[in-house]
Amino acid sequence: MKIVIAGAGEVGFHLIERLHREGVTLSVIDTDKMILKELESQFHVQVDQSNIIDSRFLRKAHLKDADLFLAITNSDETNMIACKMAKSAGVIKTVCRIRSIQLEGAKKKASLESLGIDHIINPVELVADEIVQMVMAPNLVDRHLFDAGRLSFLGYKVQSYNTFIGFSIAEIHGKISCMGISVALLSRQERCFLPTQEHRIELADQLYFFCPTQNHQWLRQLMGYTKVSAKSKRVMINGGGHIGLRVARQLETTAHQVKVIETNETRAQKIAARLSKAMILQFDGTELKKLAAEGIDEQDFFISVTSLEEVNLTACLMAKQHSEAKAICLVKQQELIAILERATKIDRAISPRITTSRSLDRFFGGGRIQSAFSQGSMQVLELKLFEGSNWAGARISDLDLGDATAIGMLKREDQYLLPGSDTLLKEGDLVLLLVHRLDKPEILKNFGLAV
Amino acid sequence: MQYRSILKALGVIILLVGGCLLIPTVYAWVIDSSDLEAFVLSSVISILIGAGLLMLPKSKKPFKNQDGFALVSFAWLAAGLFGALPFLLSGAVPTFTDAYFESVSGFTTTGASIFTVIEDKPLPLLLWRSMTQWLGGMGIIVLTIAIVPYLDIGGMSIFQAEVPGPTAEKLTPKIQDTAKVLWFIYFVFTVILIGLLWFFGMTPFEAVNYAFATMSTGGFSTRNTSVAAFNSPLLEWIITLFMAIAGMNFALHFRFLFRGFKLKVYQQDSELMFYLTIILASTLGVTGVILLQSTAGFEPTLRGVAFTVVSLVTTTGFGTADYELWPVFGQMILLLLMIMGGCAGSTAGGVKSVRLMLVLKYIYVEMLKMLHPHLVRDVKMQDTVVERSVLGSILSFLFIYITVMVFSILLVSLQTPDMITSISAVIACLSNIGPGLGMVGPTDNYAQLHDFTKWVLSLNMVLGRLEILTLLVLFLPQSWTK
Repeated sequence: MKIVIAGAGEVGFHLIERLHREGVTLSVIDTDKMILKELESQFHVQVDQSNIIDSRFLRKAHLKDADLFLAITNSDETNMIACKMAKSAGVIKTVCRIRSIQLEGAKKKASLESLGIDHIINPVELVADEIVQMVMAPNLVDRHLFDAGRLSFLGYKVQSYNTFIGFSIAEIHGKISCMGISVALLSRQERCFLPTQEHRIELADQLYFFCPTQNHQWLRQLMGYTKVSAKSKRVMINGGGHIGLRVARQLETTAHQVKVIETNETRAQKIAARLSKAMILQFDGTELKKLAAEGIDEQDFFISVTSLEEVNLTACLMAKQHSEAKAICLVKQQELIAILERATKIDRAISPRITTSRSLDRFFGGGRIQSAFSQGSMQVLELKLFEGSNWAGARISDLDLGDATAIGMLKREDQYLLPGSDTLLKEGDLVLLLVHRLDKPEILKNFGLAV
Repeated sequence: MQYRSILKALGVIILLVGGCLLIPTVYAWVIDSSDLEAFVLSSVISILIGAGLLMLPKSKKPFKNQDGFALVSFAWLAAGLFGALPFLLSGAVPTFTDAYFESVSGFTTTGASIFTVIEDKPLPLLLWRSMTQWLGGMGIIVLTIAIVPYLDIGGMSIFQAEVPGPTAEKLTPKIQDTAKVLWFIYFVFTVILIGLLWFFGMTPFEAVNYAFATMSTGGFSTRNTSVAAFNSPLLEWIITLFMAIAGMNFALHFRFLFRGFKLKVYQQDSELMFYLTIILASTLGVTGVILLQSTAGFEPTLRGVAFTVVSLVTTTGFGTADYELWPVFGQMILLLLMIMGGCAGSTAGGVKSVRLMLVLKYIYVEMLKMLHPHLVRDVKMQDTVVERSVLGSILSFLFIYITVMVFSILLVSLQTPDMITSISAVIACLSNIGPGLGMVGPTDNYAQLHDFTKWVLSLNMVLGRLEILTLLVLFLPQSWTK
């Protein structure tokens, strides 16, 4: 598979780091010589220092037979033009990063097609949605929708009141298989793996399920969580940038009381004009006295999403010290997520890079991967068994899947099936595959997809 | 100041008044009325003077902002002057003071009258009285812009100077088209109302007069007892409805009629909702208080209160009930409604609902800022930020409104025996309503006031109609520099 990436910024760098291990042919285009040099020395990539919006760009050889073109520079407009040019140069599929909220209206399919854009990814939207999700359902640590939203992949953090504590996976399966729900993954102490039948659930585990979306409420109640509470929560957001604004906009339409703290006066006025119910406060979010005056001790959530990692960290730590609020911290570096969640009181850390590159996963299967999600080193892939696949007509036990790979869920003729070892796979089935990142190329090759 | 350009433009307006005077003249000729001579004379004088001014050679100097304000102010004073001619010449009104008062009261849609008896006046004169209101309702400048492109010289500034409200809205790219469309909507509503009134029992002559007085929120009537004379609940409800319509922003009517009949246009307008809420709350409140203190029937009380509340909030000033017999609470509510007035961009007077609403919002935000010193919040209307400069001008408008009111009350009190009369007469004239309380209550008139008081009140009417600053700006020395 041949992938061209335009823009070697933060997300681009992270993507390249991940992709080069999976054995794809990568070309990277950027205007910055230094970054390209660095990339070339670290990874097996072909680099090209040129201006994307230059007519000579159209004739670049590496575009001709590329399968995927990712336009992820920092400029929306550049990305859009780059997609248009790449498409006319012969790229099969283009993905465009668009951050600006104003361009959302252009999401309509026809207008995107005319721009040569097949998919849009919006990091701001992804991160904001994830944060809103955390506020609405704090125990749900992960959620990804497969099969056009009909099947949910849910990750729950096991709290002390969870009824599953002490049960083995086999016992849990006995309870939930009748509703078409199955346990997919278990994450314990930063390690994510396929649980065996004997594994017992412990406090602070993260348990992942495949669950038909309509049965989600049933599962919550079974685990001892009440209904998603409609009670108004107090949410304080530090940082009124793109992400902060979007989170505030989504939360203020619900019953939650939102306060947004923004240091920059002009920006504060700008977001004040765009928000209606939320309260915009102009001061530095790390000033403890002012935070206290605005009632930091009464907050249910403290979300710090400024563009500066260190400010977010400081603000979240201070919030944790002076209140009972759940703190969500925006960080840049992936490593920090694990450190923060383990070593500090900060409840959740979120990184736009991870979120964005995660959402790009589904594009790396040559069009056969319908949707993908990754947690740690494990990935969940939604695959359609096409005609001519090596797996069509095979028994699951006959497939050489190994220890770290399993088929988590099957969908056949609108029915979700929990696959056993003797289940026969048929053409047209939708397969949800749990696979270790390192085994992925091998498994996909086995499946019949060239990577 | 471009005297020549202003005089030339004034000529157009005087010519227009003269042209309009021809209508009652023809009517007087048809019915062979006693005041035919007076009307012929008035039209001839107006047309000759207007044409004479128009003959002035064209000035090549640019038309400045101060010239626009001067033009608008003098246009209204001149219209009052020439409109007063028939009253004076026909002998129906004894003095020039009274004639000018009656004429200005008409053009500014105030509806304050010095006639003790109305029914004995010749019909063409009554028609002219109603016509002055109808012309003044949508504005004589707007009318002139719509008819003759000549007044384009002043552009948006003279349009803005006459259309009530904090910001005049350009409905179409060209001002002339905006003026035309406003007058068209106004005309259509008037025609519909004439039809309804005629159909439900008025004579054609009365239907025309009442429709003119209703749509312009003027309030002149052809009977001594105003609308009560017809003793028809249905007519009262119809007039209540149309007064309320005339008190709405005509830009909304425009969007409703010309942009696909969507009711959303009205529902989404926060000023309109504020205005309707105030009307509803005051009507129910006052009705409740009256019912508690008397044994009157529910429907007649509700009808009377609704009519009076709408009549006063839209600054029309028609009467069906003698509200001086109501509990003092009800009268106080009415006095407050008189100050508030209708919506911006309507034919109503007063300080306008939108200004009151925005000031209330502003006070709320200021109080919130006391609790949260770092709060960043602007006053919003329909999800858009109201600019600080607009808020500033609204606040200064309210202040100047109250200042003018207080000074006028002082001047009026020199020659008026009681306090209620002085205060309510000034409010009724400054807000272009007509009837007040005390000696100028709904069953009385302005005839017995002193001449000096009448001049003060006449000036108040013009000040109120042009929203004060247009006229007041002429008192700045900078306006008169060459």
